[in-house]
Amino acid sequence: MSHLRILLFAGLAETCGSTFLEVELPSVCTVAELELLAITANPRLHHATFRVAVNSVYADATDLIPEDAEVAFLPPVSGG
Amino acid sequence: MQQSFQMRLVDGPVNGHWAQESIAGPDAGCTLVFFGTVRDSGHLGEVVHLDYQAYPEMVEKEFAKIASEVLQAFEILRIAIEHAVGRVAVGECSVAVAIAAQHRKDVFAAADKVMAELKTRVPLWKKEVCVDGSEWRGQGS
Repeated sequence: MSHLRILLFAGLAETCGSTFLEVELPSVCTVAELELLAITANPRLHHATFRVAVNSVYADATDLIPEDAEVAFLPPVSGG
Repeated sequence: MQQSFQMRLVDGPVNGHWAQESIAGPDAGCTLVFFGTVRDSGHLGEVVHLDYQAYPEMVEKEFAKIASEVLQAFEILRIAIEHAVGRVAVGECSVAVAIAAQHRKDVFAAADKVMAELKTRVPLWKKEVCVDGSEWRGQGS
């Protein structure tokens, strides 16, 4: 198991009442599994729309979370 | 042909000067500077200001990817982008995209492509603060 802090932004941070979430990860964990763990830890994420970034790159559901990765949950973007 | 890309995030509104100066050069036959400005009407009514938030490390990476794609796809020389974070009032600029090219043919399409990709990929968010409430806006707004 390893400890992971997930960065949250904008409306997602407001929904969760924090700019980060903390979860315990199994030694091998995909992005999809991480999402389930995070939603279980914080049910307010259940109806939220977000994409996952790992080390500042958009990740796919089947990607593995590397050790010491920086992970962020990104709500729909709206720059410009 | 020397192609390049630069970007920066700015606290508060942008003025585009840095972007325009960044792409200047004797090889450019034209320069286009696009400004995105804050309008007074929003989803919740009369807008007071916008609050922008960024994930800076990823903003830089995504803009670099977009610039690489655009520099490959169009006959242009250089791109520079400034984007605001924090508060931007009605009438002020939230983003400036400057593009230099030898000829004008591709600069308009290139700027449009940068803005379209910005609005779907770059981790920037705006909160519309209106007279009657506020909300974070979703993709493409």
